[in-house]
Amino acid sequence: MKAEVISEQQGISIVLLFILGNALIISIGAQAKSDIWLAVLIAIGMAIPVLTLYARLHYLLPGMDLFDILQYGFGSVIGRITGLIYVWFAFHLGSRVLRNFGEFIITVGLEETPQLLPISILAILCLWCVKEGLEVLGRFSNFFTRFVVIMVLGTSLLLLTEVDFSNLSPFLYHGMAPVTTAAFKILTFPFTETVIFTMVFSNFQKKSSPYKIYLIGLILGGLILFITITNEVLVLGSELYETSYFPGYRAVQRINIRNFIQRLEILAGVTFLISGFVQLSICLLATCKGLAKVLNFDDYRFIVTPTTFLMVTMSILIYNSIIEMNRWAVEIWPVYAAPFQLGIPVVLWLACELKMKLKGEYPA
Amino acid sequence: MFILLVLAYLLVGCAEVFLWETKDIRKIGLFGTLLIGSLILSALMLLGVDIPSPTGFFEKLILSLS
Repeated sequence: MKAEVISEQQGISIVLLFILGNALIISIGAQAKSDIWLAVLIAIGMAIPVLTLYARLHYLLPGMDLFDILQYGFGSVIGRITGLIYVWFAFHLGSRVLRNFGEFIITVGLEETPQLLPISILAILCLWCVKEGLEVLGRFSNFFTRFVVIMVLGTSLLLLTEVDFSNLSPFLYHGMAPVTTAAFKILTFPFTETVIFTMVFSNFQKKSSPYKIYLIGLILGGLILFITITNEVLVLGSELYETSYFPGYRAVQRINIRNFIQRLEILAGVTFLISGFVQLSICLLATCKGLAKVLNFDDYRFIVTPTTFLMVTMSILIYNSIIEMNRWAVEIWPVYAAPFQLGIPVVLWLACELKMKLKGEYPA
Repeated sequence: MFILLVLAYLLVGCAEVFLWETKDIRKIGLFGTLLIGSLILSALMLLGVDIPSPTGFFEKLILSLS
C-alpha cells in the first residue's frame, strides 16, 4: 500500500474538523443542564490520556496503522478478527454521520426532498475525496479549518447580544453525578471517536508528530466545542438545548443585529457541511483501508465505490426516525462505543509494550 | 424502477472495473460482492420491504445490560 504522509498542520486540521463534525449541530451532554460547560472541560481532560495512548501506539510502531498494530499485538488471527470489528465500527460511524447530515438538511431546509438525495450527494463527494487519498483530504482540511474556526467563533461573538448568563445558574444544583455522566458521553462522542485516526494515519513527518497531531487537535477542537456549546446554552437555555435536535442551528437563527446582520444560520449549515464532509471521508477511508488490510489487498481504492454505496444504504436503514437517531447518539452510543474507543486500545497498548520489551524492540 | 437500479449498478460496476489498470480476480470478487450486497439492500428498500435496523441488535443488548 502506498505510504501517505501528511504534515503536522494538516493532521491537526483533520483531527480538529473531525471532532467538530457532528458535535457542532447535535445536542451533546444535555443532561448536565446548566453545568454543561464543566462537563465539556472534564471530557477534554479525560480525553487527553486516551489520545496520548493512541499517539503512543503510532510512536511505538511507526509506519503501521491500527490494523497492522492489532496483528502485531494480538497475532495474525485475533488481530484480523479485531480488525474486522473495527472496520464495522468505522462503517457504522460513517453511516451515522451521513444520516445526521441527511436529517439536518431535511429538518432545516429541504423538507420535501427525499433524504436519499442530500445523503447521496455528500457520499459521492466523499467517494471522490477518498479515492484521491489522505494527502488531498489533509490539504482540504488545512485550507478550510480557518474558515470553520472563523465562522464558529464569529457567530459566537455575534450571539453575545442574545446571551443570558442566568442560563448557567444554578451551579451544580443536581450535584456532580449528571456532570460526570455527561462528561463520559462527551468523551465518547466526539473526543475518542478519534480512534478512527489510528486506522488512517500510519506515516508521519517526524517521530513526535502523533502526539502533536492528536493533542493539539483535541485541545483546539475541544476549546471550540466548549465555546460553541456554552454559547448555545447561554442563548437557548438548558431546557431548549436539551429538547432541540439541532441547537447550534437554532441558536444561530437568533442572530439579529439592528435588522441588518441576520439569517446567518446558513453559516452553521456550511460549517457542518465542511466538518461533516471531513468526518465522513475519514470514516470511509478507515473502512476501505481496514477491509483491504484485513483481506490482504495492497490497495484500498478499488473498494471505495461499493463501500460508499453500502454506507448510503446503511445510513437509510440505520434509524427509523430523527427521534431514534437522537436517542442512539445520547443513550446507546457511549456504551456501544466505549469498548472500541477505550477497552481494546488499552489492551492493545499493553500487549504491544509487553511484546516490544520482551523482544527488545523498544524505540530509542 | 427496479430495472433502472440494476442497470445503474451494472453501469457503475463495469465502468469502474474497466478503468482499473490491473484486473485481479480477487479484487473483482470483493468489489462485486460489496456491490451486489449494496444492490440487494437498495432493491429491498425500493420494493418497500421492512428491513430491521442492523444496529437494533446492539441497542437491545445494551438496553438489556443497563
